[in-house]
Amino acid sequence: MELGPYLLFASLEGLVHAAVLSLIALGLSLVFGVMRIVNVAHGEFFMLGAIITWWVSSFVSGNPAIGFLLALLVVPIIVGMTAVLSDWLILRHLKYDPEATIIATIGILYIIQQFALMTFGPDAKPVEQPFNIRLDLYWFGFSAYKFFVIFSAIILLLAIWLVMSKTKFGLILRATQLDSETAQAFGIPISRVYNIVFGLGAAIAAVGAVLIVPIQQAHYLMGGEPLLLAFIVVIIGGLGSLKGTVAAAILIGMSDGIISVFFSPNIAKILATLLVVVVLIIKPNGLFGTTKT
Amino acid sequence: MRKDIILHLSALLFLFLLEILGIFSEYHQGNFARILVLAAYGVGYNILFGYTGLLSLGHALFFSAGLYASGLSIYHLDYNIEQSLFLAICISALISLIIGFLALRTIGVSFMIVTLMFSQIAYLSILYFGSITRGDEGFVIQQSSRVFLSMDLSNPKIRYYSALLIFSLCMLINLWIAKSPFGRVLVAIRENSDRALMLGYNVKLYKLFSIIISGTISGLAGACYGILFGYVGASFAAVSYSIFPLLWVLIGGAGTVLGPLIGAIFMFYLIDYASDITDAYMIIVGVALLFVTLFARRGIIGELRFRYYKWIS
Amino acid sequence: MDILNDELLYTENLSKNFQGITAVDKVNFKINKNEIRALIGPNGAGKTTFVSLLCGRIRASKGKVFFNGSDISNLPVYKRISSGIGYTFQITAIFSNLTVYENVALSIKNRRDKEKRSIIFEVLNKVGLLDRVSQRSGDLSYGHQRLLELAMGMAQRPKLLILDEPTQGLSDLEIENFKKLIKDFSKTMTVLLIEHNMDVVMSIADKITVLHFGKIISEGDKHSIQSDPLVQKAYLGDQC
Repeated sequence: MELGPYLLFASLEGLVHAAVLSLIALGLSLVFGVMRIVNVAHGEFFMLGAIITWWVSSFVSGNPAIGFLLALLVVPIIVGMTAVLSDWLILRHLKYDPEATIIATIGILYIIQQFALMTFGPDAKPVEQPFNIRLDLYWFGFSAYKFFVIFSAIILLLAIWLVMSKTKFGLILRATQLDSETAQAFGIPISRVYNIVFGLGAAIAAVGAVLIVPIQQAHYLMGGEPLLLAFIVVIIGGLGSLKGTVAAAILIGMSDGIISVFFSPNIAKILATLLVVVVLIIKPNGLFGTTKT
Repeated sequence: MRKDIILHLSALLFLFLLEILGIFSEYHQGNFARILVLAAYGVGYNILFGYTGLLSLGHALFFSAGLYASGLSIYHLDYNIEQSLFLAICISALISLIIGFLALRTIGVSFMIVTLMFSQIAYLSILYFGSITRGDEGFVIQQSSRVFLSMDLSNPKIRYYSALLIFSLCMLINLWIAKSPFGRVLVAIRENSDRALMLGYNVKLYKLFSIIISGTISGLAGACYGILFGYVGASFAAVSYSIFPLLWVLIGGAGTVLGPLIGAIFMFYLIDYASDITDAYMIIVGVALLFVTLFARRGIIGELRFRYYKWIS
Repeated sequence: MDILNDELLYTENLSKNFQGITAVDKVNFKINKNEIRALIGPNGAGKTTFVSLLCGRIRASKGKVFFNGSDISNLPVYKRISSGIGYTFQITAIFSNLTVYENVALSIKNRRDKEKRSIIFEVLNKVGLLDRVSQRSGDLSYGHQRLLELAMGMAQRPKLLILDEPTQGLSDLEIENFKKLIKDFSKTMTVLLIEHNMDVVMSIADKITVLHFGKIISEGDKHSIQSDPLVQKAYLGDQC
């Protein structure tokens, strides 16, 4: 393949990465934005989404699209409920103290990981693509499903943006983000909002997992890498800034995908970190961040 | 003041007597040698987290910097133990300086994210440069290289004393810092960094010093771990090795001199005994983390100090 | 008395904008040595922002600060403090896990142990906390915590001590005590006092500066301030 088409191929791969990464990072950023806490177990919620997707699809026989659709419906709910439960059982008792919450979510990370290892097993397991169409792009064939992933992520991001800017629920979230005490004084049930947002953040990551599993396989250790990338993204984009998060996710996801195709995934991450170093030196609050965190 | 110093010296004496009186079985002797080196690592961690109040999620970077600096220099360059230790201290001090400089440009939770991120990248780099580091598999430091002042460091007895020596050194540095005006300022920064600033302290510089001391002690512990136990591998650079010292310090008591040791002993034997029942050590770590954050924020020594013995450092 | 009348600190067009809002607007302020100056103004007048600019907690958008004859506008906080500006917080900000003694000790730098100890005992004696010297400061009553703050400010031996609402939340008796202490301070240092309690202001301040919407609208002794129609309007307008 010549360089031009090869670059196009790499960019498409990069877009798929970017699409899923946007969802994962957005979940992390949303939780931080509203609740001012960092969820270190976020990557494990993503992993949980992936292995539950595998379960759902292995229960449903016949057309893989049915299993996929069912997973798309059920998985975010199950993962979201798990997050809601861990917030209700643990985080809320810590009064969302930033340090204690981080430590507790590390605890949750270990528990989820071990749970996955004991139930799902140590091996990677594939999930069949819901439809197996290859689009002929003249120089190379490209899976139509990957386009579907990009497309779905865009739709979901737009939907989240609409909810945040146009609905009453979005208004409540923004009010809580600005000043939780005042919001509470105006009758917003802060603890319920936190509960829901924590679940929502995990559910968004879970959607990313459902989308990626048919391409990537499910594995109990798959949560670490997206967490690392999501951290890089939120530091570059500015922690808590949703716009910045999406922009940075596209930048990092694209370059991660492209560099992974040309060189190696590890080099991609090392380079992304160098970018973080540059950002930290020039603009410590992130390229889009305004608030000090 | 005097009571305090006596307590800490007698703890060290006790650890010495355990060995010299032959109380240990071979099994526990080996365990305790490991625990003492790991506790030295915990002491390093505690200086940053317990005293200065900065939560790092990436100390495995410093531990493995020392581990690999000494291990690689012995393995590839035929350094002797003294040279490799010296190199390890220099390298981990330098890395702490760089990471400290970068990470301190952020505050609060961003600091934790950035430290975790850098440490993960170090881990990936170790895997990537597998031709030098032998990646995941790691490498063994030959017994013939593990000789210091013509003593065979792989001999269990000598190994135990060496581990105790390293731990004592780090613990006494910690005790000295805790008693010094420098340490008071670190605690002041932990308690209220804004106020410390308004008393005219260069808070950032103090934090940077704290990271350098903490990182260098961690690196020294890493180097000693490799030399005493003869194995260097990428798993020591993984996230778990950043979380362990945090857990030891939390269990033993953040900002206490003996806390890391108590915490390390507790966790080591908890996992050890539990491994008879289950190999799910991650669950134990996870539950322990949740337990200390939910119910025992002060840790063991911290609780003792709070309730009964206010003079403990 | 002329020799006492030279200026300790002055500002030139000192300004601060927060995302388009001007919190402090081209302020030219001057304070003389050994003066007790009160800085008053309605809520949101920019008092705390203004003193934060003086000690460098907040960077000025424009303008300069001169202290003791030199331009300190570009110095970081800790250097300004070391050059002789002390600041006590509006909210109680002590190191609550440290003892009273340790708290005060932290505010003294570059002195030998013996000298340090004598300063600590001296200031604690002055504020009346000597009998609590080894108590954990977090266990002190609110009034005592504020006194501890004051002791920390004194122990710094600053040339200028800025007190941000020191009497807030204190009982009448405690306030009387406070007034005496501040009077006593002014023998050895200059005091800049942000205060809401007009009784305190009127009874101890040598001179009063009134800040409104980030600008100095009036300055003078208590009689001229009390009769200034601009000041009355600023305060009454605030209540309407």
